[in-house]
Amino acid sequence: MNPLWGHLAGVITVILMLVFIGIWIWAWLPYHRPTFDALARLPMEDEGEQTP
Amino acid sequence: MQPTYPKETYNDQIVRLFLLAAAVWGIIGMSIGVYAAAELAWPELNLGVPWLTFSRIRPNHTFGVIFAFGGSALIGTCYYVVQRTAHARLAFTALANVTFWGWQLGCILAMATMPFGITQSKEYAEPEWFIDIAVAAVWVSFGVVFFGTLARRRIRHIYVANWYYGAFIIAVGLLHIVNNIALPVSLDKSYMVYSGTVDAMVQWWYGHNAVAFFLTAGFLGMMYYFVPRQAQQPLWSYRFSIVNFWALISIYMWAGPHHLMFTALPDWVQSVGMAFSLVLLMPSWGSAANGLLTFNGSWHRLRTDPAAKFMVLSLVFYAASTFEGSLMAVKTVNALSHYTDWTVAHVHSGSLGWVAMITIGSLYAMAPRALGRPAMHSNGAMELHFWLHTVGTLLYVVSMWAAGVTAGLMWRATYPDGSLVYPFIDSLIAIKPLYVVRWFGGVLILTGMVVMAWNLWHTAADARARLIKPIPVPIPEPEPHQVPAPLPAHG
Repeated sequence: MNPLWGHLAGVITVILMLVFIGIWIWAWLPYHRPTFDALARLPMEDEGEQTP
Repeated sequence: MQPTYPKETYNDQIVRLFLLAAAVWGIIGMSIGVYAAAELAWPELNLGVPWLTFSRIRPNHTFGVIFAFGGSALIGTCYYVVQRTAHARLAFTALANVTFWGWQLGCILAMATMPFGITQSKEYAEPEWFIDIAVAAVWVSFGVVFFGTLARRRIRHIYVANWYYGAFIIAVGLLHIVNNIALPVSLDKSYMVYSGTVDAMVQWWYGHNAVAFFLTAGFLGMMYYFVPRQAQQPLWSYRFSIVNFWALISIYMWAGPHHLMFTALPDWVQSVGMAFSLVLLMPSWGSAANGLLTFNGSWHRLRTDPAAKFMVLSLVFYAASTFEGSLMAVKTVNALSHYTDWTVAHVHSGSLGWVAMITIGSLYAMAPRALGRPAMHSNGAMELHFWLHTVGTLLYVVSMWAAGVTAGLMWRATYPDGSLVYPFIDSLIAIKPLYVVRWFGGVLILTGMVVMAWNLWHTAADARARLIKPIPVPIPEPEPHQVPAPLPAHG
């Protein structure tokens, strides 16, 4: 097999790792904090006057 | 200022239909399971009738519980959750009704044909081509309703439960279509376009991702909404749930080859499957931890709320069975566990422990609200169901672990010259008492499902008498710099 495939696989692996780390950084940005805090509470609002 | 047009309300009618279907299919699917378990302990129970034999009714059990019971519960809760987290009524009411009747028709057709040998012989993808096409059409309609509702949402950020439901819809559609490409030769017979090792590879890419996206991503969507709701605590870490989402869906796709260890599949593909299965433990435990830690500060609810008990135990089973799954994907462990009842134990600790318990907990949480009642009809019946299901699951799983390890060790025992210590029949005789224990565990679980159906029936009294009013969508006036940011309202 052409050794170029190995390099390609390596490059893709590195890109995917960087994307994953990027998602982690994105999720931890202070900018999102107010939105995420509000969303974390979203399921709790369903308790209407009908439920105890 | 009060609006003058009719107020938008949630479409809970469709949720109630799926709730009813889930309760009915749960009893049907598990009854067939109990009968199949009884046949393994007492083989004469097939009564000499071909379509009653284990091989014919086993796919009816798996299809009945996974797609009919699990699918109805998933679509029903999905419709409930997407409306509540989008602050919008479900899109395309008529098409949503088509998804209900279409899904029921697909399940009935599948269950009615498989015992008569009308099957593609692919595990978890048995129904023949004409049923596959109908199911694909219903599934695309489900996607249109779900994403159409998201397009109407009034909260800009899409809540994480919907990410999981969305991944579940897209991936299951993809898996179903690719794995069922076949050439029909008559109404009830078709041939797969794949053959040999490629067919096996595609089948277990499908099979394992049915576990990943049907039995995990879909039910995680349920978990991420109903656990914070029932705990009355905000989700422990919202940002952690995002990281877990992307890790889970990108890793799961590659784990399928662990179903084909030591087969004709190329060795490196088996190793890829094993490696990804091991990495998969991280996002799995991430979600389990996120759910369990959400109960921090709310543990006292477990004393009084059986729905919360179901949810907590489901997360414990999720953590346990994903750990077990990673372990079993290791080649040396697989060499002992494969083809034994250890696999059956693992599947049922995932399906009865994780999937059924999160479903039952979520149904108990959702049903009173969808049926216009303050609470379930009987708290005692929920408590009884919890204990029946828990004891039944433990009896099932522990007996099958013991049977699996026993059979695995007996099959591998050899004399120094390489000949087998035990003939195969000895391993069957050794595990037969455990098959009786497994059957009894199944009886307890089935009894619990009947108790749930009774409880739901009485909780639904007002809904049957058409006494309940639709719940209005909360449409607040937008505020400056509102968090989360709103989208323009659709009248």
